[in-house]
Amino acid sequence: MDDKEEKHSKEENAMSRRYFLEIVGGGAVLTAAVGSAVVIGQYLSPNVLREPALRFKAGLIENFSADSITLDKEQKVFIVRGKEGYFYAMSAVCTHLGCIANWKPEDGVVACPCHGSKFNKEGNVVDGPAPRSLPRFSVTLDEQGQLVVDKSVIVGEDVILKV
Amino acid sequence: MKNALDRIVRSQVWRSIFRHGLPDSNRSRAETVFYNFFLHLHPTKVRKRSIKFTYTWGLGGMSFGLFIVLVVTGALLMLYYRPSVPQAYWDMKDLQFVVSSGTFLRNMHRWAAHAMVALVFLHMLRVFYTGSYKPPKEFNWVIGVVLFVVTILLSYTGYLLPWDQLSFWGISVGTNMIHAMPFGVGDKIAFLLLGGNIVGENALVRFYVLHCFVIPVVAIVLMAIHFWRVRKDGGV
Amino acid sequence: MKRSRIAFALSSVVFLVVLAISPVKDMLLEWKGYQKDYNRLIQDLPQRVAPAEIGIRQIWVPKLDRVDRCVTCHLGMKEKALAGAKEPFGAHPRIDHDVEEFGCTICHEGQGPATTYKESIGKVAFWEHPMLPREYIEAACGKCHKEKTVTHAPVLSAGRKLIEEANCIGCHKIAGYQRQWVPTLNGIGSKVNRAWLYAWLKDPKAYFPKTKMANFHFTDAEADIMADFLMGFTSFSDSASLDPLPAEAAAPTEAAKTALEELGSTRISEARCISCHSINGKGGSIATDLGKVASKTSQQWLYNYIKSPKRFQPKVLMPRFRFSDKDLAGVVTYMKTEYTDYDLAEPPKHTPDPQYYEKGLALFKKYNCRGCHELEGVGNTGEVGPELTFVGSKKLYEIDFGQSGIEESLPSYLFTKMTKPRVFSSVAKMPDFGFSPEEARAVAVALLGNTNERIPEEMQVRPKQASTYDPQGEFGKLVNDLACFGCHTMEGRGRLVATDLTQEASAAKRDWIENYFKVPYSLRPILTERMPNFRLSDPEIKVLTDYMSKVFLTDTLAHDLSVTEASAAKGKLLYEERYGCKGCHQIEGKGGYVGPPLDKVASRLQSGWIFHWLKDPQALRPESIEPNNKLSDQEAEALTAYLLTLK
Repeated sequence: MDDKEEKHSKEENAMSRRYFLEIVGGGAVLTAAVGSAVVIGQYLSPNVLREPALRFKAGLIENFSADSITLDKEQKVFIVRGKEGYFYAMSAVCTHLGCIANWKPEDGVVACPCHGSKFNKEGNVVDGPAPRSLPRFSVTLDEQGQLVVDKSVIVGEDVILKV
Repeated sequence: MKNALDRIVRSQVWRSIFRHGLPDSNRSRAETVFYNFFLHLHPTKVRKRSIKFTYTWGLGGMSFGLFIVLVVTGALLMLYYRPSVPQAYWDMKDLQFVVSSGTFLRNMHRWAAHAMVALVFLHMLRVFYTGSYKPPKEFNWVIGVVLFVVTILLSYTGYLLPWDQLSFWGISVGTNMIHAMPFGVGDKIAFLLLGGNIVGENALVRFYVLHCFVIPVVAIVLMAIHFWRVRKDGGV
Repeated sequence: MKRSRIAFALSSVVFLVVLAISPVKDMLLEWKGYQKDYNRLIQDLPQRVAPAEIGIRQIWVPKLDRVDRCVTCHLGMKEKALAGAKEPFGAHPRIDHDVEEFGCTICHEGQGPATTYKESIGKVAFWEHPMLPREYIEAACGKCHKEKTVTHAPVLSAGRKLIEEANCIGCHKIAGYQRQWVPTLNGIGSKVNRAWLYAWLKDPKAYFPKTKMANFHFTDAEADIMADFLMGFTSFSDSASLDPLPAEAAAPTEAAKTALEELGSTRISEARCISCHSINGKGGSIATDLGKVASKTSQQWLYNYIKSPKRFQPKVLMPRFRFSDKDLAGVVTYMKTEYTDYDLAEPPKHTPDPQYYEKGLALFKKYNCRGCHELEGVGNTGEVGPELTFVGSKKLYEIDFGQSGIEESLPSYLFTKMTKPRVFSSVAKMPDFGFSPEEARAVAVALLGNTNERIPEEMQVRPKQASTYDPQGEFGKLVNDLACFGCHTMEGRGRLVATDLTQEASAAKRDWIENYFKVPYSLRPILTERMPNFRLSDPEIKVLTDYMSKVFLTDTLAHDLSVTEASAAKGKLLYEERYGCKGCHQIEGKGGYVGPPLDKVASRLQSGWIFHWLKDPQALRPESIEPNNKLSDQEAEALTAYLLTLK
């Protein structure tokens, strides 16, 4: 009789000891599981990268003649110098699927060998499956007369470096 | 001579390994299969129709056989391959020019990979045309489709490992597609997959681990369930 | 059931806590604390400084195969506003190399990949390159820069100069250094007296404070044996022998002696011996002190030596003065009177050790005297010290610190070795060079730069190739005889005490050069060194000036211009009013005397030289202190025109 009453009263109590222990234990396990997932996610995301710097020296301004396009292969950037002598830096990565597009002087276009996208000197798409024009990066001049390109800063088409 | 063989066959060592002699009755034949680790997946009895070769064309079994070939050739190739830049490319060249049977193993691995994709696809067609996906076998079909994707992923991750131009650009294009997923999700997934912003050393190592360990483990687990389901549902 | 539920709850919580230890430690990393401190610090600054994103930062230098994470905590490196801020946030002082291109540890050493303070310093187990203490930082320059003099690295340059001058190469193999000339010991027994030799061996600097010879700390007995041993070598090189003193040196009367002394004194002033030799500490420091030379050697030896130095010291850079026997008699008489040490004590009675030769030879070999001094009749190599070409890469476990009690690091070892060479071992043989602490530190810095670290080809700075200029013929013989290279450089060879002569014919007029050989008057009064009067004959002078006028020319330095009254007047105005030339130059006694007087400059210098000199003095003579006033061509021509009127 007594046992049955005890059991009965325990089941009526909202936070029975059994329930509490189950919550604590299960909660701890759940927290540990979620925490492990977070920690594994942190583990998988690298904290340091050995990649070429996004901000780099492209060369002295004297090395670029007027009305020229020079490709920096390692950084995948075009340094463009207009007829009047101003500079801008344009990405050489085709906006379609990421191949390096090359400047073809005989056709006057930047052409991608993978799927036939073509861009004009300003970076706008003139042909092919590319969805967007080639983005432009910020280009500044440092104290020694070197061009400094920063690929982490995208600038508009109207931004040029006057020297 | 016969005496010596007799002595061996009657020894305790032999009898502890080979518990039954060669079967001579149906019962002993059934026991031989049932109590053997390698053979126990096979039922002791099968339906007559499933013996007909043209019913399944053995496609599923062949796919699994090719998987075994890929694991074995792959494990052997691992002995001469280092997943870092630029060693990967030169090791691949070494396998081709210097290692005994290197070309054979590499080619076998490549052919088996292509064949496995083809056969897995044909197996899927066969299952569809023989209606073997109907209830209660729907879930097994789903597992099968997932296994198909796993097979493709194995091919894709393995493609990067020679670290030549085909590898690099192939993976560049594929990961650029991932980048195209909206709301920044694509960028984050691509970052984790490549271990960075570019297809470089980190990407090679991650693809190597995926190709040699993670995806094969997933494949093995799913295959085990897949075969188990087939058996439990009464065979092909 | 109940118990297992309690066990479940308890173990789950314990499991969670234990699992949480690592992630929590990750949140409390040392560098995160520094970065947060930095962001708090910059908020209090008046200038606007961008806050740092929390995360590990690194400089990856693939060509040096290094990755440096110092910048994770050293966040203020490039911020001018943080100059002098508390470390680790202070701005980096201005340096010649781009930090992004070179990283940090190539100069500072230390453990670049580390992200905790203690590990980054690198004074931990198994990291073999702890950070260089600040005073040794220039050693890192020496890893890539192998020139003798490295711009902006004065300590390193001083150390390399000291290593060359001290002739460390005599005992230690060390790449990139030239053996210095050291007097031969052939005939030493016929040159010096034993008392002097004993005193010299005991303490060289007591006789000649600026000597390069180190102190071997011989015991009295050892010095006795060495002196006896060396006094046995009485034959000079190439079987030269001493001529007897000339008859003119005999001075029977006091008056005769005084006359000789006066003659000698005059000749010594004309010969400007003091330009190279110090006399009781005053004068040049290229050659030995003469203040007590008459107590060292005999008048006969002095007579023979001055008459023909290379006979008794082959390859010595002392010129052969064309003295007559009478001149020489005067000189040696004067020297005997004036250059004697009258306070020298009488040496005690001494009986030589019966085995002085064997013991002396053993000591000679033990201390490798042969490493510096040539001595015929004695074998070639003695015992040498360790090679120093890569001493900067010496591992700690290779060093025996003995009982010295110093800090156990390579820089402190090298520094201590320079000041107390024998402190590390009772059997050490390295002598004491008497380096001051600054000198010892400079040498240690230079040695620390001698590493075997692999530096990419394009980053190495090689020293200039040694000059192969070797003048031949009559000119070559005279140059050798007069030891011009002792004070002048020509075509990259020689020592620069006076001027470089490679372009001399484009600089000076031939007449002036000829006259100058005859009467080398003082062109720059404030300098100690003066050109000696060698008493050359006219044919000899002709040989010299013929060669110079044909070879020591640079055609591009010619610049003819016409001198008009107008241009000369304009130039005079520029001289007197615009450029303040009077501050350093005199004309007719008015002006400063830092530079040479310009009274007869048109008779001395070529017009082209004057023009180009005014345009860029340092292009012609890099050591000159004449200011470069960035004159236009017209201004330079005007000034040249004016100066050309000063004949």
